[in-house]
Amino acid sequence: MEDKIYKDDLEQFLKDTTDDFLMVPSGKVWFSIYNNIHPDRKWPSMAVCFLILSAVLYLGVSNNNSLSDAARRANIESLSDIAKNYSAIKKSASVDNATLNSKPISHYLYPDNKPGDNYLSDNQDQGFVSDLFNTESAAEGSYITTVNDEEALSTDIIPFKKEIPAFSSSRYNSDESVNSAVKNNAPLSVKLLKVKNKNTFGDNAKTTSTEQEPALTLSETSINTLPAAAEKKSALKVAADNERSWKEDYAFRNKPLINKFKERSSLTYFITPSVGYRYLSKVRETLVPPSPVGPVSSSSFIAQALAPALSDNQPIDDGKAVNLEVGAVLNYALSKNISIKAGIQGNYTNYTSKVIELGHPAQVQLAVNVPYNSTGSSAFSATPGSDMLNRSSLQIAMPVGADFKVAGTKKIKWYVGTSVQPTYVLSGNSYILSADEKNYTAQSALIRKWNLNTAIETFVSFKPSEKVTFNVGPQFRYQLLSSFKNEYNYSEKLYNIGMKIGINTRF
Amino acid sequence: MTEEQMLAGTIKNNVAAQEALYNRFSPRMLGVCYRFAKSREDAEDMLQEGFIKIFTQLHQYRNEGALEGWIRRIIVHTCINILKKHKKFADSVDLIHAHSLHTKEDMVPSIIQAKQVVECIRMLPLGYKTVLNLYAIEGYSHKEIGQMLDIEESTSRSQYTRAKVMLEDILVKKDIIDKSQYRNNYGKSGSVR
Repeated sequence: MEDKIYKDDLEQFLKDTTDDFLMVPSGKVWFSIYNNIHPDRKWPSMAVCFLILSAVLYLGVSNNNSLSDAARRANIESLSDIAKNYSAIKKSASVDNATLNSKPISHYLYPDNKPGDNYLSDNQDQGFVSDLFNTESAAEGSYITTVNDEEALSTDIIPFKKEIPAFSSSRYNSDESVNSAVKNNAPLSVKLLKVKNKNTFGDNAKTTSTEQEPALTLSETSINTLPAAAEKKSALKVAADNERSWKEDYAFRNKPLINKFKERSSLTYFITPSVGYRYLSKVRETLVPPSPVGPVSSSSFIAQALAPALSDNQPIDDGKAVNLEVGAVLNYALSKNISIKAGIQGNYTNYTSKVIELGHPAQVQLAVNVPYNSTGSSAFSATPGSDMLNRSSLQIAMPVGADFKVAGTKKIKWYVGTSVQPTYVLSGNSYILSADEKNYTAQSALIRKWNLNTAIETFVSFKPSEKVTFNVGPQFRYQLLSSFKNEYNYSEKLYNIGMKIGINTRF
Repeated sequence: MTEEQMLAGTIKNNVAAQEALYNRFSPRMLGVCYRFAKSREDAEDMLQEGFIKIFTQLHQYRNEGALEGWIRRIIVHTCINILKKHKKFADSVDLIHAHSLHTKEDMVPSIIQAKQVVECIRMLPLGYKTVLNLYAIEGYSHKEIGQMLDIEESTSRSQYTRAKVMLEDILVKKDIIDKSQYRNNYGKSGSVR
């Protein structure tokens, strides 16, 4: 019997003791539950993901140099038309070889063009021209046949066509039809140009293998050994020069439209470590019910020195904490001094409040009105001895703004900038005040999901090379709307002071 | 927010009411889960699954008995279901393991008593602590435990007896309980189910 009583006592002891055992679940548990029971409310996250994907896709497309098949065909057709004009001009009795020699072909095709300009200083253009002349459409003869107008060149040149072997570079050999076209249909001038100008077409020409060299040597040797070689050589040179001018002119007039955007655009990646604070002010008085009904909430924390500060409507002496922004913006220069920008960034906001942790939870009346009226939920400390409340959130924002150049030289410039940032709070934790301003209680449901931030900044940019610019300067960011929903009787505005460090790359 | 408001709001899928309900009961329920689980992470998984069931089945609550009791039963059943996925309670491995288990001084954390007792319970083999939790703390009978764990009623009884002896040994060794003082404090209030 003694033993029986003792065992029952143990059970009672266990039950009494373990009933007092409480643990605070981590924040992710509630978010997981929330996501599970409210799958329809995932659309903000999905919208943000869609925006990010769109931005990435757009950047990817805008970085793509290649032309579409349709654009290539259009270019080739355009080229064909130009070549026909060229042929017609050549046929014209009013234009002799000497005249043709003295003026670029573009002079005749486009009288309003400025002759002599070198438009191929940009490597991209060189690449474009080179690519254009290696298209399959070209190999099919759509323009070569037209350009291969025997009247356009001296008939003396024609016999040498067969003596010039087909190019065997890896680039040209990659397309058999090109070889075939060169062997049979392509004009000599084009063939020679491909060999002769291999060093003038930038990097693309460098890919030509050494197998081309014998071809050049052979043709020149052949030319030198035939009668009237000097004249023919001269004629070849004229034709080649003319065609080069023509190509340059073509390249200039058929620049991809995307280059205009690229010339004015750049991409800036930035990181902004900052110090975050908050400003808390009372919006309205809390409506206190006559008597608490039912179980009321408990709080584990006492707000220290909050009430006096709030009564004077002054900022509370909360602890500052480290914040961080990371993101990328696309800049577009409207003029030399003004550029607009838009992008995406992630924010980590954080601040601390000094509190005293209570040994026993206390019942509190929350400083909220309907529908969060009266009492709130309990908060229990999982970390005994802690006297610091930490309020943090993860946000994603879409900054849209402008930068203005104040002064500067070619290498170093000084800018001021501003932006507004529609912001979505992905996750976060929060503690709200009790009606008597003495306690904090956890209440994540009151967090405002969509907010609006604004930022002003000034920075110095240093440009060590044409493609890259480094930016550094202070930034002030301010949250325009309260962190909490309107049901909370206080307004909380976050602000940050930080140092923005960025690297700007041109396309 | 009163319990009635919370219930009504939660059934109407009101987020604030759901969070209020969660905040009110989750600390105690996580304590329950923690006694069954291997780790805090496992306990939070159990809590999460349990509260999802609670929110989706709350309309079945008929105001018969305390809401906390109803929630607790769902949480306990969720814990058992999760444990059953990974463990056959009919196995005798626990018994063999239990006889070779020796408690060490440094295995019991010296913190507050409730935490100490819970940690002592968690030191027991899985089968022991599950039966002990269900019988001594949650108030289920051996017959119910047998059905929940898919074991014989007699197995539940034997496991509970051994679990209690082992736990008592641990508690006494750790000076958490003193047999004589213990009797004086609790008298004959215990009951046998």
